[in-house]
Amino acid sequence: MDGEELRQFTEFVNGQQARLLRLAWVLTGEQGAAEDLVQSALARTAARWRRVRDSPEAYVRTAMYHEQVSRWRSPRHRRETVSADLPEPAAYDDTGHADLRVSMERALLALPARSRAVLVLRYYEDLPEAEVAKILDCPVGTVRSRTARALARLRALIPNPIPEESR
Amino acid sequence: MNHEELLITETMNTLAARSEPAADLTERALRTARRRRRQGKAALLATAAVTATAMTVAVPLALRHAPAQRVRPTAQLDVHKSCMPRDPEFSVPSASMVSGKTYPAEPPSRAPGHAATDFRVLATTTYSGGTVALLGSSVGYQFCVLNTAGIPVYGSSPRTDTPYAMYWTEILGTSKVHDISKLPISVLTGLNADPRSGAGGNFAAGHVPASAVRVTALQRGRVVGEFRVTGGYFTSWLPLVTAGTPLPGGGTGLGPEPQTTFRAYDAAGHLLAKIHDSP
Repeated sequence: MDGEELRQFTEFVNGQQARLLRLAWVLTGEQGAAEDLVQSALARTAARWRRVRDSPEAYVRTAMYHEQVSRWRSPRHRRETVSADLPEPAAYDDTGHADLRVSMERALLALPARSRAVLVLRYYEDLPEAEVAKILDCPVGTVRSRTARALARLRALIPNPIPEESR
Repeated sequence: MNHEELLITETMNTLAARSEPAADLTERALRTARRRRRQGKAALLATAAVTATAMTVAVPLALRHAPAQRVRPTAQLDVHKSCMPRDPEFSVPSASMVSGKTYPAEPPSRAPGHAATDFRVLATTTYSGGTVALLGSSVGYQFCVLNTAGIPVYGSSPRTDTPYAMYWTEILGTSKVHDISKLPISVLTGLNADPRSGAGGNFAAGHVPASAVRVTALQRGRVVGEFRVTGGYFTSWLPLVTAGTPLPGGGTGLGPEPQTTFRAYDAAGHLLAKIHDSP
């Protein structure tokens, strides 16, 4: 990387790091792992900077998804605990929404990374199925089936199921 | 977007908002890139040497203790076929250098210890929902859950993607060591849905002293499981104990998943080692 490329890369990282860290946080569920993930994906991006500098953001995001999907297999990424019990009573909420959100958060973090990744792409990044398929390098039909499976798994992990009519 | 999708989006936004700025990200990324480039070059030149070193130092236990002696060959073959139908994809250790040993950023798929045929079934546990298996080669392992039909599963869904494997250096709890044979006991755990009922449950797999013949799992002072050791390895399945869950010996679970203690015993009943695993 020459001086100009280094400047471009640094500018890119400075401009995108907050967004990338937010995405990594949703994918990993913790700050340290999020930083590791972004750092690793940026390292891949730096190594291929000449080829990807026209669209580095797409490359680094794709690298993050792929890396996270392989990383989840590490046991330390499967240590989250799902419990039917809340650690403390939630604030009074006559709709039960707060309880549900706590449960949803735990369930999301307990999902295998591959399942979580597809949901993050669909619901956090709000990407159409075709775009998700491109990032995950799989057919659109696979995106649909993975999304359906991830949602089913999510429902199975939530102690108070989401009412059928709300889906 | 329906209510469920809105809730997912809202929850993900809440998680994202917890991110904090990271210091020196550019420099850290560049350092990692430089290190990977160096390792890539070194790996090309010395893949065989590195792998040979790993084979003799990392986990020869898998082969040295001949675990196949304790597992029925036919059953072992079935488990192997199901869990490792093709060469696995190796996950690179999150730190590419552990205890002075380096690991390639892009694992060589055809190097010794990396092919499906290099793996052996080290330990299995059968339970009502299927089988929990630990497979290992000279360089890595795979933790595999099969349903009653012998199909590998993640939670309640069939596993359809490429089989994965981890380098031994990542195994067994929080200890990142290159040579797990130096640990008296180590355990990894994972949470998953019960492949049969969809209810929560805990997997565990571990390495214990070679003279151990059984491992017990205790929660809240009660023995909740006992598992056979084969060649210094065991696997286990424990139900997720939450409020209302009936406990062995009476009573019900009171709250969140308790800490599990694994104890390894030899044939004479002597306690050889124990380890706590927090949920």
